[in-house]
This record gives sequence, structure tokens and C-alpha cells, in this order.
Amino acid sequence: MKKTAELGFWLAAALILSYVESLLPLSFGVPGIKLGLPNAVVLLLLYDADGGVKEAALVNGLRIVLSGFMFSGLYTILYALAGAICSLAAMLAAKRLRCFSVVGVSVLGGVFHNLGQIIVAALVVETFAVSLYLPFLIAAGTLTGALLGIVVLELTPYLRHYRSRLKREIS
Amino acid sequence: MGQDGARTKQHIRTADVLLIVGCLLASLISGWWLLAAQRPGETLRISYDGEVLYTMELKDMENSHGGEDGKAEYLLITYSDSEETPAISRASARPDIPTDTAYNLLCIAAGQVTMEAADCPDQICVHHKPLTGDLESVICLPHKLVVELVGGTQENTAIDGMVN
Repeated sequence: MKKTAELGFWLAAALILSYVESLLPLSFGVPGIKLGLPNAVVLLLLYDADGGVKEAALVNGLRIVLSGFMFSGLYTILYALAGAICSLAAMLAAKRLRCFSVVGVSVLGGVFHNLGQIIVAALVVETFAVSLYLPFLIAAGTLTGALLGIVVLELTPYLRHYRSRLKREIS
Repeated sequence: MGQDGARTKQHIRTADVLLIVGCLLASLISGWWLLAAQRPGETLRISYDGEVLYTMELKDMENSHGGEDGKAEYLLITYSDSEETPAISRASARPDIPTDTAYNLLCIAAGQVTMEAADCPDQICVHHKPLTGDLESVICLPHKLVVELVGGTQENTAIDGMVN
């Protein structure tokens, strides 16, 4: 199918979510806590009939590089990529287990994103003084992951519906 | 196909709820445990790229725990391209913010350590809550700067004892 166009659409959606997230001053005095809105696109692609791991990784990787250059800076790309790789690996493993719905997968993605990022940060500055953050990061990853997972859970049937209607109209 | 969508619609499962509850419990228990182990910070330690640059005993300061009008101390850390390690200058009045170099400005007052200003792009360190107890740290990733509060000598001997 017109895969390039469709992935381009998802990339644009993920970039807008990145931008919206960069506008929200969500600061609890603990670094690294954010909503993780772009992860909704990753989850939708992971659970999409036409999509899969490769598509999700491609869109998210490009999203991080592009939004990194547009909204933050070169060094943030490194941390975001570390978080994204950890998160995607955890979500894939969780999805393979088949006992979680997209909500559980999203929760694990959120938690592991935060863990991956803080571990890379600790390695870069060579400190272990980040242990106090961990409980906050796990709790934040769980809550934001659960919320986002519920959103994706509700969105998936609509997406399937419109996609199949589109396919019928084209053919 | 609406029916198809309805048929394959997922629902939240028991495992999801267990996972969420488990994660929240784990964070609550570990958070409670870490906070219970926390002592008042006695030494301020500043490291750059993994190397300790500067240490300062908070109790050496006059009125360091003395409320709002207690004396404040400022530490200005400046980074220059020619020097390998950043320079630190200590002042009892708020220094002028440099315009030509990268910097972090720390304020130590009333037993609290606050990152007052920095020129890093993300400003995460500036938004960080003030440090009060040991185990707490502010990290400025763009500048590879770690500012941590550590416990006094008792803490160090305890760690040495564990190692021995």
C-alpha cells in the first residue's frame, strides 16, 4: 500500500504530539517526568494490522531526531533515544507475553522509558546519586503509561474501522 | 468494518491492573524506604564529568540553618573552552551572571541548595526542587555537572564499615 505516505502521516502526528508535550510545563521538581504523548503513535503502530515493530521503531526514531533538532538540542536526542530503545524493547516483550492488553504494555513502556533515560544520564555524568528519583520515575511512568494506554485502547477500533472503509473506497 | 473493530476490541485485563498496582506499590515502598534512610545533608559535593571538583561543609556556613534571613552563599561555576575543568568561585553576595561563558549558579541558604540560574538549553536543573537531605542531587546534563548533598562523617564510616 501507500506505506510511505501513511508512515509520513504518523510521523507528523508524533511530531505534533512532541511539540504539544514540549509546551506543557510539567515539572514536579524531578527531572524526566513527562506525559509521553508520542508513545501513543508507537503503540498504535505496534497494534496496527498493517504496522509492526519496524514501522514503530522507524517513526519513533525519526520523531526523536527531528523533534530533537527542532525543540531541544543534540544531546537530548541521545537520552531520548536511550529511553525509546528501552521502552520499545519492554513493550515488545510485554506484547509477546500475551497476558497484557495495550494498557499494560503502555505502562511497561512508560516505566522503562524513564528507567532507561535515568540510567544513561547516570552513566554519562558517572554518578549514582539518582537513586532517589527512581520511585518518582516508576510512579510517573505507571500513571502516564496507564492513561495513554487507555486512550490507545479506545482509539484502536475507530482506527481499524476508518482504515477498512478507506481501503474499500480506494479499491 | 465496524463489526470487525468491535470483535477485536481489547479490554483491560487483570494482568494490567495487577501490573499498575504492583508498579505503584513498588515505587511507594522504595520511596518510603529511601526517604526513611535519608539524613540531613551535611556536605555539598560538586562533580564534573565524574570527577569531584569541590566540596563544602554546610555547617561551616554561619546561619546555614537559620531561616529566611540566614546568610546565603553563592557558588558560580563557569566553563571555558580553554580549561579542561570548570572554575568555581564562592561569594556571599549574588554574583553577576557571566555573558560570555557557560555557567551554573548555585545558592546555598538555610540548609537548602538551589540551582538559581544556568545557561543550559533545557533548564531542567534550574526547575529542580531545592536540595535539603543527603541522597539528593541536581544534575545539569548539558554541562555534565552533578551537585549532590551527602551525609556527614557518620555516613562515610558506615559505608567504609560495609566495605570492610
